[in-house]
Amino acid sequence: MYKTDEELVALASGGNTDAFNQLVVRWERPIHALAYRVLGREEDARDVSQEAFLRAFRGLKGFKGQAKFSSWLYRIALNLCRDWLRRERRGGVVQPPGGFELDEQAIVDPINESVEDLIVRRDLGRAVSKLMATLPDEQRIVIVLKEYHGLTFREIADLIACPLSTVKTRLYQGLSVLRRQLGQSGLNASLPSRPTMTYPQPIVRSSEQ
Amino acid sequence: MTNHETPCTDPSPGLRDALLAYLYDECELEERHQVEQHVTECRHCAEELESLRSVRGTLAAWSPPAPAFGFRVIGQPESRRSWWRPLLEPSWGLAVAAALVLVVGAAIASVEIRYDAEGLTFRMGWSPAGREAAAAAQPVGGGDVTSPEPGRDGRQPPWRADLVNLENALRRDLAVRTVDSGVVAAPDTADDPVLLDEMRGLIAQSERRQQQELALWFTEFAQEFDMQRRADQQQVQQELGVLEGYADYLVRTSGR
Repeated sequence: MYKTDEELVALASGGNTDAFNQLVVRWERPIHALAYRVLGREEDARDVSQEAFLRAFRGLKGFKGQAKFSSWLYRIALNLCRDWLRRERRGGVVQPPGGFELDEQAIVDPINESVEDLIVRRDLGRAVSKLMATLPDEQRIVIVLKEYHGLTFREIADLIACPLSTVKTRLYQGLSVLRRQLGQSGLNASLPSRPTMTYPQPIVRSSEQ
Repeated sequence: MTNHETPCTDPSPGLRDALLAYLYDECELEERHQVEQHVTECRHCAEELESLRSVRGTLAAWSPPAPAFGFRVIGQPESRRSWWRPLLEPSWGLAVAAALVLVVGAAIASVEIRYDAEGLTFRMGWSPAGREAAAAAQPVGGGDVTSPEPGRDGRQPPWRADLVNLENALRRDLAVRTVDSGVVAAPDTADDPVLLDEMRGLIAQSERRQQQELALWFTEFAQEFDMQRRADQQQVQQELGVLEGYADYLVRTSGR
């Protein structure tokens, strides 16, 4: 029988580890995706995700249901991401723009998408990840929350504790930067109807002439 | 809204917010109508909206990898002082450890140690011979103490009694450990259909991803192979051309 997050939280607070594990199964992908897109590296995302769930588990007693469990979990994960980014910066580790090193699998519709579309989408995804890494952290966070997690402007404002107008400004500025960069690289088009990134042509043509 | 007759070269925050809300389908009906009306008259904003939509379409191509972790919270029944202590560990690691303990335990439970004319034989497994030998050598539990099987030549092997004692000690030890590991490492989650369904879904998804990845890999390999083939072809033709030129030169010089 399906249980809501709140029901599972109540059970987990009473010592039911299985209930908490159901919450982990339910939310590990979004939390991991959030951390991955904000931090840009798989191993960092994994560490932050695990830490987020660990903190949630330890803090269950303090969670009084004042917010949705998912919002609470997102806030924990996002705060960890920001701490991580700050530490990384303070430690003098400058992440190169191309720091998104993971070979992500860009699969939107695993059943219907052809391999050719998949390849095009994957290459485009890599290009997007590199461009996203060049954005200021706060712009990237807002874009990630809005674009990939579908949060409302109000939810984002609450989550990152800033005015609604700031959220919209960051989103607009970030999208504008991406638009300019995508335009310069000739990548700006949606898929798969208009694939814009083609595979490099064979380097030799003259031999066939 | 701002001036509808001339392009919005510098959109106000209000208009910008309205466009964003429209872009993400987060505006009221009236505001939606206002934006739609505005973009029919304002080329600048229409292009703005279209280009932002296009950016969103491109952003959709970026998918994260499937999370490679797989940890679960487990309780530790033996630590009764703090009736449960949170511990996050990779669940697959626990599963592998538990399986390993069980497999080793099961294998050694049917261990057969034989010393005869052929020498010392140490065998593990579920073969009937192994079970018979184990039953024959089992002095505890049944009440009947069966005498150890004599060697094929009828002689009692030396060290036989020591080996049988060692075997029995191993059995008892492993029986206890197997029970313990079953309690600690195999939390009772199997009776929860929701969790099972979710796990099955994740596994199915993972299998689909692996198939896609394999297909991708093959396609990339084919492309690289084709590029390399063409490059090799070009190089061969160039070298052939050089050789032909050299041959022509030789023919011409020899003809003189």
